[in-house]
Amino acid sequence: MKLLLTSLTLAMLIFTGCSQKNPDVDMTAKNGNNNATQMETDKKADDLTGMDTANGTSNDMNTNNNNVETAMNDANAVAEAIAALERDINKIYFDFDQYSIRPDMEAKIKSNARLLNSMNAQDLSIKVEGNCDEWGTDEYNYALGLKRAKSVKEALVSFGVDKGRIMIVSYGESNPVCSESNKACWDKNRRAEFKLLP
Amino acid sequence: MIKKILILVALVSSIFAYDATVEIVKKMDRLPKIAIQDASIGSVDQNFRKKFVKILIGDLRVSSHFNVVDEYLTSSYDGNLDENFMSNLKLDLILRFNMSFEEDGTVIAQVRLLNAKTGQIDSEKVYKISKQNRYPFLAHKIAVELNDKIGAPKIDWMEQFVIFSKYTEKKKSEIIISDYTLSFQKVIVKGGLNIFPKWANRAQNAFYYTSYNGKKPTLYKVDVRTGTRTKILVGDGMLVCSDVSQDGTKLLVTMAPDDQADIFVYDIKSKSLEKVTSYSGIDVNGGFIDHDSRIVFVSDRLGYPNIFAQEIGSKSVEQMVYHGRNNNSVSAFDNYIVYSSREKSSEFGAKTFNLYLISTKTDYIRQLTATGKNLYPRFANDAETIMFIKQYENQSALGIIRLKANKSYHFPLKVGKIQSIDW
Repeated sequence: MKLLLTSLTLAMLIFTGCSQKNPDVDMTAKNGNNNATQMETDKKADDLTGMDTANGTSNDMNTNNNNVETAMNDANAVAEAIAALERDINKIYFDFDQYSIRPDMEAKIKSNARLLNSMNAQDLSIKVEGNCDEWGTDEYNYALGLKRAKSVKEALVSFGVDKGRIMIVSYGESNPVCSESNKACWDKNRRAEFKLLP
Repeated sequence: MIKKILILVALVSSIFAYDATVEIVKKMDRLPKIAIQDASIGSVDQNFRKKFVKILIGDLRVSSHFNVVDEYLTSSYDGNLDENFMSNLKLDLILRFNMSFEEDGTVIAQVRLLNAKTGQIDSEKVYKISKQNRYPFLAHKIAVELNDKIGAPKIDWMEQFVIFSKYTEKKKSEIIISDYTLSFQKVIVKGGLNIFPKWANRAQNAFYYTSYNGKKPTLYKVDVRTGTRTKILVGDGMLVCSDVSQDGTKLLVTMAPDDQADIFVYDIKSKSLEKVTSYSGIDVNGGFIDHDSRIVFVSDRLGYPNIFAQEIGSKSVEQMVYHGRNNNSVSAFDNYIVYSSREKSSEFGAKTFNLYLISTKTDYIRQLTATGKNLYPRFANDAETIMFIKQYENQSALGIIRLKANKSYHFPLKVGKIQSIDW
């Protein structure tokens, strides 16, 4: 049998090359022929013990959301005013793989700037959210979404909105408004949106 | 005799001349043929045993080091003349197991390896795992040790945990720990948007991830043994931990403190940030190379996403890839760089994103995939195995490429879309 295994070993080496670049992982000791040896693979079972007891890692967000919700309930009027403003703000759309402002979007940003500097909105903070379509790797898309939000922020500032009121964030491809796989849908997803905060 | 020596020299040369960027199109030798026999007693759930056999057969196939019989076979544990030789199948090896459960649910697999030419027992071993749903790791362990036994190149990566994030709905995702086949899955972070999980060390007992659930994107570290979570960094705009240094003390993060996404090195001990790239466009997806002294990354500094390298502390940037017009994701190991490239300049081509492998030592480019959207490639802890995300026909799958065997395998996710992966 040893002969067979040795020849198989040689065959393997010739066949696959002899690259042994892998790091040593805690392999259990090899056992001799015909010697029954007990070994444990419980490492893989116990490695996640914390996750079992914790039943998943929870997030602050739920708590924060609840807080926000409570606060908003206390200030319905402000919330309604914000909702009304947000309905009137134009979404800004982008070309495929681009983050420069399209000529047809400049008037929309100007109109947004006017609205954001109006009496009803001038005391509110502005969050610009950059979004992408489903194409590409998500890590790049988060950066692309951020550049889109930044372009919009800079355009708003050039139209007179106070820079200090604006924060930007990217959602990559995580926040689509349309989930079909066609051009019209991807066009809708490549966008910057606006959220107003008291 | 001289002829024999020459043949031997030629073989040895071919071994050391191996280049992963060169596609292997022809098999050079015969793989050992192996069959798996289930010798468990009838009272043990047969569906469970069949699932176990399926994973074990899959492991041996994915290893590319065995010619495995794709059939569910049964036998007695001690075997008889037919069962110990199975001469009609012309086997080299038989792997026989007897599965049972202890009262506390521990799964026990008594495993015997037979030489199918002589009918002799080569070795025997008992494997145990204390939680039944983690049985895929039991199969992977057996496959890894069998592979070692025949002296084939290591496949230890099969035992690594995979960690990935999957979108479940708008602005919602979960982080899951799984095995490489997705047969075992455990949701470990849920609620809100949780993305870019990254193992914190080789032992895989902690990981980083970005939470989008507070006011600003926040990087957390989670200890999987205790479940405790520690806040590491808070960033404006975006925050991704793209890579962890070999010793686990430094992170490569993409963040945008001035609205501008750049790559930084974050020192865990000193809690200091060092800016590595500074370009007014996009710099993202940093990966340590050359013993953590340099990085590869994706940048649009030529007007389209492409792969570059830069020494940490230096301003000089080197273009690494001269192929493709949209190379938007990269992973490096030793001299090898794997990247994802969009095939056409518009988004409407039939071909979409393919993976390519290059060596920094040669000019060769090897195409690794041919259909679908193949994204987010990541080397295992060796230069021969790459994991990636495959999207096809609205399904999201985890892909594995075995470079030397020139084969790839896909393990589809039933629900949701894979956002990012690490292992």
